[in-house]
Amino acid sequence: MALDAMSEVSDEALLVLYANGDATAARSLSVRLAPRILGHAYRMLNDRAEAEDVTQEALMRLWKIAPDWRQGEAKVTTWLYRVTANLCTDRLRKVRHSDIEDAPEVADGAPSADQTLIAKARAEALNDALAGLSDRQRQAVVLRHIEGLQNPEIAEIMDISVEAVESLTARGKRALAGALGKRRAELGFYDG
Amino acid sequence: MDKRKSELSEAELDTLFSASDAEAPLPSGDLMARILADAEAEQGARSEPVARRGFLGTLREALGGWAGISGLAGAVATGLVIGVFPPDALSYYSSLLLGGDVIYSDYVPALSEVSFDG
Repeated sequence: MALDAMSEVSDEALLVLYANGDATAARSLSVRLAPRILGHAYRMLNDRAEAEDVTQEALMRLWKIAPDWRQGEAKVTTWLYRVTANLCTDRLRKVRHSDIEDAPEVADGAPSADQTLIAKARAEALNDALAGLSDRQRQAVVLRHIEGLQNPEIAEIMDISVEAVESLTARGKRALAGALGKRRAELGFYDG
Repeated sequence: MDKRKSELSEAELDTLFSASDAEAPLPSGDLMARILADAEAEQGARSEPVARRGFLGTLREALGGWAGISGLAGAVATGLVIGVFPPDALSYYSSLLLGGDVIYSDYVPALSEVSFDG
């Protein structure tokens, strides 16, 4: 089946096709899933190289369990987010890196007229602040407000109640708002 | 000073979330190549042994090897209906042929008389 013809096929169906020997299905799945997993891992780890390793490992685990995948029991993305979180947590436990020291520089003073630079600076500042949250708060906030998942799915990924997800995201956002408030001007937020 | 100004507002935080989403790192060509190589290697590792074993060899493995088959043959000889197969113990192909969870003696006749692929 051609790569573009698979755009309407669900992740779960593609996985079954892959398990049955369809190489194109693996390419379609990789194109769909690798960016999401990489983005999520990067926001959890704040390290590009580590995030790439986690992405490769998470998808390797998906290839291995493909023959045993039972359709209708879970979403592929839910399973992958959970695996990614576990892999990230393992790495964070091994190496508690100092994000303050490694933080990329943000432009001083008033933002330039270049909107691309402003967006990049804002994204980097957010990543720095996310690194200051607990692992669970960071995971909940990223899944909710960047990956755009709904609370019931986040609860399934994190194996906690919906109420616990709401509590984690609320506390995480308050912490972010406080940490980033100090950098308001350099992030381009002005009164009036 | 106004205490509110020491924290970002909900709207300002949402702006940062959107920026982060827009600036998400994209997988490099090298990473994608590694991922696809893993997928291909895993597929190759699965397909080759199954092709050598054939269907009966795959079934033998799903039944737990020769020990499992000897027990099964005894049960079949006494005319028992056995529901022993969790869905993931068999390949998709096998589960289609055997009709799912239950195996009857009609489907596995005279196991002791059948020579299995080595």
